[in-house]
Amino acid sequence: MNTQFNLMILFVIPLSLLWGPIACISILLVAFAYSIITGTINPYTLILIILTFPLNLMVWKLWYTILNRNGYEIPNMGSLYNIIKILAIVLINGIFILAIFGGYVNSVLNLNVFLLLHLNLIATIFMIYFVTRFKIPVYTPKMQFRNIMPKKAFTIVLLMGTGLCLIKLLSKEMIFPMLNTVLIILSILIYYLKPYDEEVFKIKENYDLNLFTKGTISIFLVLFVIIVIIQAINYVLISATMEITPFEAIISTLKSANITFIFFMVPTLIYLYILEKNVTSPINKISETISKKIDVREDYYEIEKNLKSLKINNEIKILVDSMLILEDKYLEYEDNLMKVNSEKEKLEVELKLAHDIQESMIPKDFESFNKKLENKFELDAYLNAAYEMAGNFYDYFQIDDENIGFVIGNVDEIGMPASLIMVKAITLIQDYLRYYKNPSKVLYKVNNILYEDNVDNNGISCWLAKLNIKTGKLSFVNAGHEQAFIRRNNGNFESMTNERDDKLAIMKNISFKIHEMKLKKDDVIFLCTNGVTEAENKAHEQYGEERLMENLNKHGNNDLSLIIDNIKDDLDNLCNDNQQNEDKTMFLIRINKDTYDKPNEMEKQYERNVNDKVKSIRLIPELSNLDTLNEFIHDTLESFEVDLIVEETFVNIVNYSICEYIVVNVEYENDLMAIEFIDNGKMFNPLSKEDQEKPKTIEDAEIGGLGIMRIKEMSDDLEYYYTNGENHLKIFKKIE
Amino acid sequence: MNITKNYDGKELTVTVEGRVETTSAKELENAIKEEIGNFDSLILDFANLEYISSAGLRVMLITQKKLKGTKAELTIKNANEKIKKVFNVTGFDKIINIE
Amino acid sequence: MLDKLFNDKKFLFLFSFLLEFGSYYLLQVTIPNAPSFSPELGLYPILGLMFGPIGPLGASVGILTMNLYLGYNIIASLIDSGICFFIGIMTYKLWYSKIGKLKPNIPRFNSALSILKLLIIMIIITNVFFILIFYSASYIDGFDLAYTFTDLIDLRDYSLSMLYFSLLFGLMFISIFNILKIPLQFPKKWRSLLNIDNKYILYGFLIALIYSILSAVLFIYGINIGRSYAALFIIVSILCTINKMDMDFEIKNENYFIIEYIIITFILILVIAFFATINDFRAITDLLFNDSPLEFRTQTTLAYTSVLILILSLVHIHYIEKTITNPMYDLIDALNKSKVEDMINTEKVLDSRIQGYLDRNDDFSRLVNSMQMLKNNIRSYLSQIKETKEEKERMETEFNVSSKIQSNMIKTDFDEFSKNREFEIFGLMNPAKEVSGDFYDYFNIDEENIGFVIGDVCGKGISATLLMVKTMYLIRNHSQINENPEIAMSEVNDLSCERNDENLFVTAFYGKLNFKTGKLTFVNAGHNPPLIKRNNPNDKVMDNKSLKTNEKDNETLKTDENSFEKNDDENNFEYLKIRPNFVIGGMEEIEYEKQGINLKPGDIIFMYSDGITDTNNDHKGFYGDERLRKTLNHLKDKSLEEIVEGIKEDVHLFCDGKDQFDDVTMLIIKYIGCENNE
Repeated sequence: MNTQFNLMILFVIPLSLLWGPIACISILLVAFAYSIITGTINPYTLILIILTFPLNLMVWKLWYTILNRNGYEIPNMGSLYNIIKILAIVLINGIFILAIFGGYVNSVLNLNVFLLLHLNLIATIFMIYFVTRFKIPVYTPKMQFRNIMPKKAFTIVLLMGTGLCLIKLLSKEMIFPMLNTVLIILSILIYYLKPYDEEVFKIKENYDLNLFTKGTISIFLVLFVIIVIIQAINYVLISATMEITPFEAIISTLKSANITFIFFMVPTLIYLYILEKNVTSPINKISETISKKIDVREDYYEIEKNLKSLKINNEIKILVDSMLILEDKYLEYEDNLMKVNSEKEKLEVELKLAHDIQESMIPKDFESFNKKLENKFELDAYLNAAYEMAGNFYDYFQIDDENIGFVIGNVDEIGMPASLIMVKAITLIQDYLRYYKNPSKVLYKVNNILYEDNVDNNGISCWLAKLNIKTGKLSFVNAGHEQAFIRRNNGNFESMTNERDDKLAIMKNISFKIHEMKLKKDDVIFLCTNGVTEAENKAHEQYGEERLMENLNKHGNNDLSLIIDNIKDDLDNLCNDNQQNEDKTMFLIRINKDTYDKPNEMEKQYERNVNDKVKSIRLIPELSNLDTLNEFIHDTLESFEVDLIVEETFVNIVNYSICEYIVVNVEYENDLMAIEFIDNGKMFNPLSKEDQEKPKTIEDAEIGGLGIMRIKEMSDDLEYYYTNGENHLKIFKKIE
Repeated sequence: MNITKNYDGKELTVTVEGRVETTSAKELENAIKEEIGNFDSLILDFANLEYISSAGLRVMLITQKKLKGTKAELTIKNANEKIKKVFNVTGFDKIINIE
Repeated sequence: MLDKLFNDKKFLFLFSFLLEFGSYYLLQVTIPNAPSFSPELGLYPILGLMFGPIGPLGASVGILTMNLYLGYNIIASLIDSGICFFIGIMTYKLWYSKIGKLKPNIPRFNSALSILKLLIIMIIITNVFFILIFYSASYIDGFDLAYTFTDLIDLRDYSLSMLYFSLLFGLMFISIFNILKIPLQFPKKWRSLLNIDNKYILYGFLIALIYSILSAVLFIYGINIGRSYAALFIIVSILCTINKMDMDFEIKNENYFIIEYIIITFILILVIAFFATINDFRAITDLLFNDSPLEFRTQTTLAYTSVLILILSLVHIHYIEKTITNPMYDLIDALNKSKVEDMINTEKVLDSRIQGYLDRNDDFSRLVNSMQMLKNNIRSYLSQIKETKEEKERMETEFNVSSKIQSNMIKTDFDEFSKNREFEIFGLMNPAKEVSGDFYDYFNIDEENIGFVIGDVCGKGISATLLMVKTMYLIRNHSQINENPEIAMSEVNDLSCERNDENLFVTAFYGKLNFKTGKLTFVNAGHNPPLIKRNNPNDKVMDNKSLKTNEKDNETLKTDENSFEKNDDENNFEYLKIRPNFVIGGMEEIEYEKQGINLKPGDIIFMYSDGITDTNNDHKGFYGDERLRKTLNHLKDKSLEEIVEGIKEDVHLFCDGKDQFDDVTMLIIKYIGCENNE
């Protein structure tokens, strides 16, 4: 019984340490069962077995009542302190066990338990390691005891108990052995009632293996191997050389092994101490310091402070220094980021404000506009700036009772600079179209003005139209704009931009060709900017004209807003979240009511007076009619000599005189030709202009008139009078 | 700039102190906007107003336009000479009542 | 100081001499008859390893001296010391031999590998020693007086002392020297007679080793092949020693000494372990090999004890290396190498090395993880900073380009415009920021009339600029088309109210000057009134009743005698008293009154925006109308450009050089007139 009993003790201590009462009860029951099975049960053994409970539990209790260096923890070998603590606990426990049991058994066995101490310790250490490594849960104190006496008192009781034990062990004869034993047991029981520190109930089960633990395990493994080998050797030795029972042999082995172990413990502890002090503790400290949770900036300062206060003298200091540098950099970059962010935000705020203002300048009152003009047509538009400010524009406005104008344009720049040019362009275009009513003339003037101010050589594409809502006549000019489509007779959308003039602001004095067509009910015009056709996804696939047309044709019968929405969706599908670099604009207009023809307007552009001497032609003042005029002149005069004069005069009148018609009368008699230009525009007498120097700005040129000079030069005589609201300019020339 | 509001029945007095500039004009605009509909008459007390910029005048314009059509009236009181002059030169005293 | 000492050849010599001499004396003389315990043998190789040739030299001299002192045969003594010297040199050479790609380095026992290397070298050396001693003892008379060997085993014991003690001393002394930062000697030049690749020598040793085991085994069975083995071994050894040395060392300048601490302590444990266990092991050997001679048993005990301990220690040290010191040094090394500045570049170096340590479940990996996290955060910040900077720069560029565009829109061709005509004009528009809401403009209306305007959009910066562009062009267009300024202004107002949900307004002062007659018609829409300087002090700065619009333009103005403004006798700038109209863009259908004044030759009209008068200095208050007027009068006789510049300077002065608060705009026109002016 004693053998088994003693051998059991080998694992009792680690089990008790880790699982406290549960383990102790289990051991109790096992011992009990074992003794029943082996039939060795008797009152003595029963008492002994019962006594094992408090004795074993003592280990557990001691662990949780002696403070660790870092607060209360589950049993672990994370530091030298812990190891020494375990050692001490095992030792004390051993003393108690010896004192209690030693007296009741064979004196040969007195030293048994003590002899097993080293194995106990090693077993404890290994068990703790396994628990930590495999994260096996342990049992921590759950029950609190009342404070029946001050904490120190408990400690004194324990010490007294230890003292009694030592007395018992060391003295040959026992005075009151029974009393002694009882007192000892009592001291244990009393100590067991010591209340825990509140912290104990808040122990977090920490299964981190730290470096120290790893080092410790390793060295103890070495020790273990050495000791086992020694024990084995000794056993063999002794069994072979001496005449003793195996049991005695074991005892002897253990004795020598124990001594060896003690020899080893001291340098081992020194070794562990050096390891801890120089390596694992600094690393642990650093690790703990920098692993603290970081929520706010202040946490960084806290960590910095803690790092700086770490006293590390060896090369590990580099880790600390590096961490400090890293932290510094982190804080520095954070500051930097905040600074740059706030600078950026300041700019952003201003741009956003301007965005709002630009937004409010872009017309969106489609419904009320349509209504104002009796819903003869409807229009809808959409503009989306790539960044804060848009360089695209569209506009629609009423010119007079019968005419509206609409325009779409795209400045080559993007962002703020473009928006300034865009405002200028839109203001001028609208103002001029309302006044001059002639889109070609409007763009001619606007082009020259924009050309003057063109800083970065940015062109502006522009598609401008005038629509007579009664007759459906559309006159439009295209200054380099590529995306205009028309759907007629409920067919498919077709491009309208096959013929285009140059963009605005690139060259001076561009004559923009007027295109005319008659629109009917349900005809739709779709205008957009290249931001739509050139929208691309991350793989640089562009939306493209084809896909646009496809979409338009598919949804062409829908409400205008739906058409726009469909295209928007289609664009989104392609582009996902790709940052767009171009503004997108879409403009739609649909004729709702039937239009009719005005006979005067469309049919005869000219009529010939049948008169012997004077041939007459009446023209609408548009540059495109120059060809017609030339043809007329050639037919009448059969001469090309006067082409220049005619062209010059006609262009001048078209451009500078705000008139509704020009009548050209041609007379030819003998060698003398007389061409009379009659227009009902502003009174303007070219003959009153003195010869001038070449003008420097376009305004001067307007008033002065370079052409006038040329006409004077080329002709033989000029006559001018103003009557009945009409300018009459007669040009005389001798021709062959 | 400091804004204080005071209700006397349905008459709201908004006291503006300091300077109304581009940055603070928005604050003033919002302060008045919040109260639209809650008053029958709005009095702006400029006794301690040092300076009003064009942004501030804009707020006056917006407010006056908003009140057009309602029976609520806008009056400015206790403006100093400089401020009165500003209202005079810009013609704002023609559209807003200044006492 | 110690390093200087140990760099001095003489000192080294002396040191070795004394050490050897002393230990020989202590251990041989004071404890005689203990041949199996000869620690001084350990000094032969170690002194060589630590100090180069000088060490063994000193040691051999020490031995020689001692031997002679003890009265031994001179030849024997010489050979004895010669053997010592050879052993020392050979150890030195062996240690610093480059084998294949493995570069030797200065002895440092910070890894299991280096300990192993020492072990192997010492085994070889011990064997060499054994052979040399054996043959010397066999063939040289008097040699065996020095060493009383009874048999081969005795000799072997003796030699094994060298093994044990050289290991012990080597580990301890070299580690201590490394900790104390005392430099060890390493070869700087090596004159050699032989030039064989070291790997052949290695092979030679391997063969010899096998041979030696073989011979030991055979010896037990009574077969003696020792002689041939010995010869082979010695030949290889000599070859090795005199072979060339590749001076290709890794001289690391590391300052890592923790591991040495650990090793030394561990060695202490080993030593204790050794002594603690030796008796037991001895006992068991006695038991097992009862019949064998004592020395045999002793040596066997020593042998397996040492082997056991060595294996255990290697395992342990290797484990410590792997778990603790290597990762630590890896991290330290990587941190040393990587500079925080170009963290993004050197990161890869750091990352790959410490990648493996991220997942361990101990405090070290927590450390590494925290570092990684911090580095990642830094990296993220750096890229965010870059992005934000780019965004900011994009926006700044927009502002700058817009500034150029706006300043281009504002005319500056003053001279050309007024050339050969009866007036002079100058203007200045200085935005407070990059772009402004202020503007001025001038243009021809017809042959006799020019129009000019100064305007101020409410607000600042780009928000105001958009409306500024629109208003400027509208005013220009409508003034050129419409003869009547007040109608033009009304049209502009209505158009400005369109699409103006933000209720922005513009103040403007518009004037139409007939420079043939000097008649100036103007409309003031909420703008601060201009200043006029009359050339003739008798001309009053007048306030005229507004003209009705149906009056014809060519009529001269009627003056109202009752509304004079008092002025000085001097011809100074005075404010033009005008009836203000409402601003532009505020409300629709506003009627604007026009007013008129007749300018005489020399009269100047100065228009400005309130950015000047509203400039505020915290101490001095507002710049104000008075100061403007006074400053203007100081400059009144200067050229138009000088006047404008002068005002600008004064405003700047007033601000104490601080940033401009508001847009500053000025337009000044001087009427010169022609001869036939009435």
